[in-house]
Amino acid sequence: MIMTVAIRLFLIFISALILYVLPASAEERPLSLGLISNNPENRIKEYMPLMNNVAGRLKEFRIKDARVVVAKDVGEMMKKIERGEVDVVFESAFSTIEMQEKAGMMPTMLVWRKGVREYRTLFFVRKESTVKSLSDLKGRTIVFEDPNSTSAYAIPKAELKRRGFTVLPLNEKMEIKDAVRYVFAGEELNQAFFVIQKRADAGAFNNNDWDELSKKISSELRIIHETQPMPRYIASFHPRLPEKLRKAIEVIFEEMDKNPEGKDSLKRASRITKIERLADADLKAMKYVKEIMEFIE
Amino acid sequence: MDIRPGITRRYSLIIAATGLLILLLTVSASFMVVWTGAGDVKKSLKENTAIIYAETHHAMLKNLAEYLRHNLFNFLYHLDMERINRMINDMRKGMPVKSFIVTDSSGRALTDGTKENISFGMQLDIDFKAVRLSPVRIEKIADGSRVVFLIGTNDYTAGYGEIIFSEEPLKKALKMQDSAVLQIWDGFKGSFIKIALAVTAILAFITFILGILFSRTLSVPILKLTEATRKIAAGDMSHRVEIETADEIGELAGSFNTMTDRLQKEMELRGEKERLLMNQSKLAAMGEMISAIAHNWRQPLNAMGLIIQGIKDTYEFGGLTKNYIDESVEKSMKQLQFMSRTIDVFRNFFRHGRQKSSFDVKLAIGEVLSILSAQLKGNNISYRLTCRAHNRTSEDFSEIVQCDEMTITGYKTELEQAIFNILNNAADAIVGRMCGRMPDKDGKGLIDIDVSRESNKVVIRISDNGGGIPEKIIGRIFEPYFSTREEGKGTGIGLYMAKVIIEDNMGGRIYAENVENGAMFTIELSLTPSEEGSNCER
Repeated sequence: MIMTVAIRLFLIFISALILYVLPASAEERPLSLGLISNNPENRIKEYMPLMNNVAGRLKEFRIKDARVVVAKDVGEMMKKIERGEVDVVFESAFSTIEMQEKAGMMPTMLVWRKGVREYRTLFFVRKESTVKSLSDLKGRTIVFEDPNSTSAYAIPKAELKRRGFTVLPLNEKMEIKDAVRYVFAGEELNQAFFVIQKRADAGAFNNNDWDELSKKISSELRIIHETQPMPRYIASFHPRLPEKLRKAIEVIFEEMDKNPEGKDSLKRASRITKIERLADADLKAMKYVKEIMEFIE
Repeated sequence: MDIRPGITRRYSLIIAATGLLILLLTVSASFMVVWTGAGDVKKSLKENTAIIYAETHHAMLKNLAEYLRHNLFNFLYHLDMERINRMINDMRKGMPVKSFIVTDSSGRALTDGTKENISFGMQLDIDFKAVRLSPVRIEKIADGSRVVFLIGTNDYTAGYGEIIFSEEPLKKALKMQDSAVLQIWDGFKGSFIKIALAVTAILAFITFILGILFSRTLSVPILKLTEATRKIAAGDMSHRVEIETADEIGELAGSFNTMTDRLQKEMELRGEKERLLMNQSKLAAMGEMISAIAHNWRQPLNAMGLIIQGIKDTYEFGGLTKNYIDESVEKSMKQLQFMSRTIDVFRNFFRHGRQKSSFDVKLAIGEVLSILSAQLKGNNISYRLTCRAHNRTSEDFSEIVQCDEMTITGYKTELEQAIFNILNNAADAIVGRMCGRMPDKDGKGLIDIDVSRESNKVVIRISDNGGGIPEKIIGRIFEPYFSTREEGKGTGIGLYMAKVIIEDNMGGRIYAENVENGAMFTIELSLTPSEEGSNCER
């Protein structure tokens, strides 16, 4: 009896030991950052220093090194998230919301990509145009950048639709009264010239592109509407990532711009100037994005 | 041979200097030609580069504008300003573009390719009509070219392009070319100077050596001639110059040898003549001497005759004693000794001695006087010899004492012969005057011999009161065979021989002049360095 009890205790000890050792070995893995891009080589090159910096500070969490995983679009990124191949994803507000809704990603931090915290989409017309507001665009033509653009196509188109406009391509033969017809100019600058040269009545792109315009050109244009601000870039975490580890990463991200090494690795990764926690206003902005997204096809 | 290199050195230096001067002139001239040529090349290069640049630049601008007007069309048509800007910026990267503006069809500037786009909205000055006719127009403007081109097709004008090209590249190219040419020129100049210096140094050395060799070809024969002349002057008439070349120098050497041959023959002939004259002179003198001896012996012969007659008379009168005989013998011996001495002097006088020796001029004169003294006395001519060194005058030859200051080196016998001739002439002149040919006031003859030391010479002045030499013949008295005596009494060679002996043989000087009542012959003889100091002895 005593012998049986001793054997049982020994087996329990061995099992506990195995249970203790096995999970620890499984957790020793890389920290993966997910990005969406058509140029994985450049992205990996740009972001590896940042992720190595972060991973180097997470030894206590059995993080042995870092990895940058690049997907060509949101759909591919979703699959990677499902497979647990990524821990953190840096993406635009729209993609982040999609990943949040479909894959349970947790957006917690705002990334100042290229030094830009947030952006708005501006609607502009010629200075002497009779168009004073979005409502005046009925039956008129607007110029967008290209179908892949968020701030110069998706958002303005969605904003117009949210306001009840029918928005159709210029060459769409469907005859709908008061529909806003649109053309693509290919580049933001071209959009401005389309408006100035009267190929379109209005144009729309983000406030940063507006600031880039020559004063001589912008002085010939007039802004008739600005959307609500939207976060430029958001860091979201995989839901299966241990909370302690996520928080540790958040702290590291938050402190990165405060030391030269971290500042340098941020700069090399798409000229990021800082990473901060999402504020209430940002969450509100996310809500607006979510609303807008409903009107995006 | 002791060759003095003076001529060689001088001519070497002259030849070297001339060669060097020619070389320097050649180098300077070459340098000037190269310098001027380099300037012309630089100028020509610059002009040609500018022309070539202008031609190629114009063609290039035209082609470029053609390319742009077609390639910009689609972008401008679609208002793809980003692509247009990219194209403008690409152009700026590779071309010297000062400005590149693309306008719309009204000529209003759309973009200058920069982010600021300060040209936007500007109305460009475009001759639309001209551009439609000729879609690419190139104008020359200050510091560059302006190219205006139509962007479009024949039927549709999308806009215009205006490019201002800078000439800065041309200027830079020319500057670089200038700099490169200057660098090459500097390098060439440095090398040229180095080579010129090296060549000059080498050629200067070669010229100097050639100068030495050339000068030696000139100077060595001259030096040989000089040496030969010196030897011949010293009496070595057998010396001849070796004829080594057939040029002017060889000709000169040949002429020299011919001249020396003739001179030798002339000298031999002259020597022969002189020997003949000397013999004649001696024979004449011998006659004179015999006459003098006859004078000298007359007295002792009379005296001896009287002694002999006295012995006979004394014997006859019985008074002949030993003592008388001894006295007579003694007296006779004295007379004989006197006669014997006269013979010795006579013999010595005619002994031919061509050996130079140191002798006292006064004693030599004394010996001549001893020969002539009886003759002079017989003709009532007195003489006196004054030594100016000690202001001592002797009126008899036996009183003449030796004086070191009057010692010279030369041919004593010949000098004695010359003085004999002069004294004999003086005596003849005095005797002639006494015989009425040249009457004198007191009728007494006197020969005054004055011997003095004047600087490094011994000067003998022999004057007489024989009435002097007629002025018309005084210049000819030393000519051979010239005589004023009666036919048969004078040979006319006495004074000639005196001149030959004094001037040719002893290197002295003899001349005659008239003094009060007579003539004076002056003989100047050089001293030898050993005859310094004074020591007169009786």
